[in-house]
Amino acid sequence: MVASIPMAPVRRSDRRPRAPRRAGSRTTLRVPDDLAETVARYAEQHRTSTNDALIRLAYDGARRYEYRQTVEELAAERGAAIERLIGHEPQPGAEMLSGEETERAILGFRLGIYDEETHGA
Amino acid sequence: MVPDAWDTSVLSRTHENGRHASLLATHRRDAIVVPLPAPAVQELVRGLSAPHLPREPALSRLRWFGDLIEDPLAHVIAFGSAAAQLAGWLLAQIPHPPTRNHRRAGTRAQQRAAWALDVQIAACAFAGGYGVLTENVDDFAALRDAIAQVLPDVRPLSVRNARI
Repeated sequence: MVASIPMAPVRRSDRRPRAPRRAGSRTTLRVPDDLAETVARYAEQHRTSTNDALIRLAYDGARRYEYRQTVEELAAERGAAIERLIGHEPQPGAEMLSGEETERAILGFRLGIYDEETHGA
Repeated sequence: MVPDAWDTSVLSRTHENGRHASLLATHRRDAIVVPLPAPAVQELVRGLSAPHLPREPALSRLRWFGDLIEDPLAHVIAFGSAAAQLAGWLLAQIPHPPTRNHRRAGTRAQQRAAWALDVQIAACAFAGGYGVLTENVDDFAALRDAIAQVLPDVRPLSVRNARI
């Protein structure tokens, strides 16, 4: 049966929409007062329940955490690989470049010693 | 998923009429970090600080980008020790951009300077744990391949085309 207009429940226009149903285990937790204030403000601003606000803020924090983890792990992995590449051990007893050769190698571009077409910038 | 650092070809086009304005808007709307390699920031500031530009409009635009760089969402990826060493190594192995003079504007000296910056940006992104979002896919793909060849055991630099 379809409710006629007079039978339809009266809806308050300022009523917050119901928070979405989520799958997952239920839990009880103590929310610190300062966090609860933020959660309440978020819920008010986004017209949702405080439970939903808490979950959305947690998702936001989790996203940032995952981002940081991904980047930091990869940076550490790549940093170690670069170290191995640059810090390659020379043959035992190998001679070093002389002081003059060293300076020419490093400053060759500034001093115009290197051919630009061969060696680039 | 590995986030992408924005190279200069993307960063410079995030202004209000730019090709990548909507990308920046999306990041702002969804509070997604905007990773900016330090050498791209250097290139941007250098370009907008050039003495030949009309002073006030250039300063205004510089301020606009300054606000973006200082935005809490922006993360400037430092050109640190690992990035600097890798960039030096790459530049020694690939002294010229693979595209050489094709499709590149500017004098040879300018092309070389631009290539050195691309190398720094790639090294910065790689060492920082990022990929690269760029319009300059061919050159960055060459850098990705060069890195992958000598460092085959680590996840390679991802290079994503910003034009798609």
